Amino acid sequence: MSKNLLILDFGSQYTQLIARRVRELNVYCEIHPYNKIPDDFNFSAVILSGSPCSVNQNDAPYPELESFNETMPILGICYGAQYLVKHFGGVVESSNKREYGRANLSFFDIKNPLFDNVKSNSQVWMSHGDTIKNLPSNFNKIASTSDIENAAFHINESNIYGLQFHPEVFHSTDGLQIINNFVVNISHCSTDWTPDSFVDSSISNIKNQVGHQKVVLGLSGGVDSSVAALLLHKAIGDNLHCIFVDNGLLRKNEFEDVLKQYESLGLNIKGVDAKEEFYKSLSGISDPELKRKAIGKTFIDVFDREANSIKDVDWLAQGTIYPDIIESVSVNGPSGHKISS
Amino acid sequence: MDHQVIKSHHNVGGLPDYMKLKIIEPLKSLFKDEVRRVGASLDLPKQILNRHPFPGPGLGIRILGEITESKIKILQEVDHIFIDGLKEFKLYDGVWQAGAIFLPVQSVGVMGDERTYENAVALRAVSSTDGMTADWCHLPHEFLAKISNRIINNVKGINRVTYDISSKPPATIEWE
Repeated sequence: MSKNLLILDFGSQYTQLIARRVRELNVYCEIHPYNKIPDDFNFSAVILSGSPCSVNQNDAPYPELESFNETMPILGICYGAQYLVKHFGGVVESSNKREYGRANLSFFDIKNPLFDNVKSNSQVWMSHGDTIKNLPSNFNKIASTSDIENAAFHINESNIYGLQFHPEVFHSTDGLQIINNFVVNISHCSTDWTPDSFVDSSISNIKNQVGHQKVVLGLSGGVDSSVAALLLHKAIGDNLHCIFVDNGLLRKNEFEDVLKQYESLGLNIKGVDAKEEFYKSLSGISDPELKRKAIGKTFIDVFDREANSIKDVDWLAQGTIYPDIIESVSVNGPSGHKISS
Repeated sequence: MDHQVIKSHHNVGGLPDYMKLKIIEPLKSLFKDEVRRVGASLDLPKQILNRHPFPGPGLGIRILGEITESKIKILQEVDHIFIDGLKEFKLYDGVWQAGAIFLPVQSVGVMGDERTYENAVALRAVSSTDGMTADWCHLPHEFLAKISNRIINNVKGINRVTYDISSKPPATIEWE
């Protein structure tokens, strides 16, 4: 079984970036809200994200760290690090100057495994108002910048670390190295998440899930729905029924060209010329929102009619990708002000 | 902005109730760049794999004002010349998204000995890594000159070509 990583999201604008960095290391990770630790996701290390909140505010988001076993490797980033400090009895204060932007590590513990292969004076990206004033007694300071005394820490005889800076941001020049040190060297997460392994596992998952039932999918000519179609086709062949609607608002020759390409890929596809229906629904409308609504509604009408004309369909496939899912479950970001619990 | 309508019918939980189908979302754990990598590993043809994003409502939100079939025809021709040109000059893969916008504006021109009073179009090309922020592309002037020429000479109804030099934010990629 693969050893995966859990990212607990406290609403940072950078949370998705953490996940992308971890995935770049071929390690599978999932983002979940800080107060919904999943019970159906198997993970062996945790990253706590940043947050627009302060650990000292009344309604600050707190995770239930007690639900992890004691040896679980944890990396707190920014708010996540400050939370660990506060949780274990240290002091976090709002500093009189906000630190935002580039800084350099004036000191770091070269013997600490978190900093393997990190260059001296390494540039890091800061974005915080609060600062870590005092570390609990069993915490070791392992990095500083000229402005920030406690830029990183390690809890004695544990695999728990905290970083005041953001290693996931491109401007932290050794950031990916630091994440690699935590995820691979310290946590021993499996580095087997590759496109090929994804294709293999998702084909077998689709086969298990769908069996011999029929699936309908709307193709748009875009990358997401096309990749979804190819995967499903590999898994269930002609039981995948694709529908490609000509709404009369496509690029020149697009409908014919794309249809031909899909056919040459062996997809079971039906092209539907619904131009007139769309034009009729748009007639007399100039308001942008109303146009979008009319096009959306006509699409649903046409797609629904076509899907119903296929006998015994049980499944609707969609080209939803991870950022759509995260948006629909995520805690509010900086623009959302308050994090609801 | 450019995927709003798609979102209402094609993404998370947007199905009409009367369509009682079970949902399967094979890409729901992937980021956009991972979708491309998986597509490459499935041998998805390059023309599809590297295609620019295109909004669900299509040219419908690139024709400002009321949509008519003749405006669509004109815009399709303009868009085609622009996109083909980007490919011909090997600029296409360096651009995140490109297209033409039909402006509800008429202006005076002169073609041969005749005065014209026809529509204007805007060309838009942006660079981005995720669509969240975008900068307008600094396309070579010789390229823009050539495309402008081709459009005005070949597309009846257009006598003026402009280039959109706004970034997102504060502007958006699409005009509507």
